[in-house]
Amino acid sequence: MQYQLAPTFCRPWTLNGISPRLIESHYEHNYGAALTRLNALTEELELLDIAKTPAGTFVRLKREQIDALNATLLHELYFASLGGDGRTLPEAIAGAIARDFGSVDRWRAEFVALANGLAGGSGWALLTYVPRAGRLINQCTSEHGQDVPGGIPILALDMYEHAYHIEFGANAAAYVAAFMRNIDWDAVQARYTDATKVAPPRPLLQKQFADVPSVTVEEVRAMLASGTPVQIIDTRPKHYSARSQEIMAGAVWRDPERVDEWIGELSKSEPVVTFCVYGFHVGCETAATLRKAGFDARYMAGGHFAWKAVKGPVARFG
Amino acid sequence: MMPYAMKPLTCDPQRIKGMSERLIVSHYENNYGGAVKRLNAITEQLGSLDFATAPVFLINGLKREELIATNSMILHELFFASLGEESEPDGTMRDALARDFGSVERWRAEFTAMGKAQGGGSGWVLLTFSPRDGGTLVNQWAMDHTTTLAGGQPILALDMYEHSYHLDYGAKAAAYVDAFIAAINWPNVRLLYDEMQRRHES
Repeated sequence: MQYQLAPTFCRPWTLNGISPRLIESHYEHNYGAALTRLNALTEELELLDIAKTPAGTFVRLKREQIDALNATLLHELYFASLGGDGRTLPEAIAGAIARDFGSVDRWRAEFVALANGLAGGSGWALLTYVPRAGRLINQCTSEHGQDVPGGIPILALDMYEHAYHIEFGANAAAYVAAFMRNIDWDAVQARYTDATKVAPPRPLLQKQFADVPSVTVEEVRAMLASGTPVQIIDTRPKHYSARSQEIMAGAVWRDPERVDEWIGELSKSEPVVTFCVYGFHVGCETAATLRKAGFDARYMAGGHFAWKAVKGPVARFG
Repeated sequence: MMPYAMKPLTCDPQRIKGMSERLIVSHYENNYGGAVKRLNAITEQLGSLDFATAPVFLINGLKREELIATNSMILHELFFASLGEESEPDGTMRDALARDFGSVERWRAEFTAMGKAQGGGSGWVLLTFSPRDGGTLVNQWAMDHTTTLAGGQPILALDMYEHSYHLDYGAKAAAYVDAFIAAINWPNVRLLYDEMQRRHES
């Protein structure tokens, strides 16, 4: 398959402090070259006899291809980021930026500092929507790689020296300031609106436990830190816990096979949190059993190892 | 620790054919000077850092920046020393290049193509003395300022960062590479080569 060239998104003659000459050279030599390279690599890869190609050769071509693809996509976004007055942020994007950075001024200070820090090298400053977090972040890249997986960049500032040297020389800060004066915020907001329609990565679905409520390890940690009364039951299966040397600090181990024997120890006036090794089956099942018996029980998502992964304290066990 | 001092420019910016004085002076002041300034700032920060308690990301970040700035300083010094008035490799250099690349023409074709292949990005092309295998010369690619040959000593450096040519050549990286090849200061390459040979033999 061949990638098609996108026409320039901005009208070069309308820009303030960035000349048509700079945009033309950038569009033709850098964007155009990236697309040409991308198509040449893609064709070479399509014709490649994978079975007869040394693995190193294949990987090298794939690496070059992702570099060319990213250069193509980011340049398109760069041109599409220009053409406005840089000042007027429409309501939705202004609100989103204030929510995620504290204020528009704070965002601007961060973004400009990030771009200025890339002076004299090559890379990008990007404003990116991350569906995983449901928020905007400022990110930099070195070369064309290092994009956030699943992230959707909605504003791109090219800090390759080809983006400014012809006109600004080494004065990267003046170029960054000029870019900021030309941001097309209406276009940024339209891309933001599109980006927020992308759902975060789907969690693992356990249909049989869909109606059992869960609690995150961060929430449990906060409960312990604030002294909220909570009964934490480690219900890792006996064959597993017998080999384990550690237990979550503040939890007591109870055999999930013998709930009847220990259910009487629990109080109904305090919430119960159960968990198993990874937070899949046993912890959920125990929580469901306790709920049926009238307890305010939830399972801790991710289980023992999620607790360890957030560096929750553990005690010696066994 | 003493701050790193800037070395004076080792080429005459008015006499490099194919590169304007403005280009070389901007390169020297802004990019080389910038690297030295940055290195001194990082060195100072590292000096006052309590390594035992500092978060790992701070240590990693500063040490990474330190390496980039140090190499940028060293490679830029070699770059300016690589430029001069028109010259050709002498007998010793011709023999060394022929031994390790087949011929001077073959070496030149490789080095030139490697430079042009980096157009539109950033990095270096280096002719490097490698003490392994009895002391051989290698053409090496270096992305950013950090990927240099282990144990090697670069003796000729072509800067392919876009700041090296955009003021004069715009996006025409190939024309810049040709100008560089024509302006190589071969007596300086020979000097560094001899030094490496001596150090290697002793």
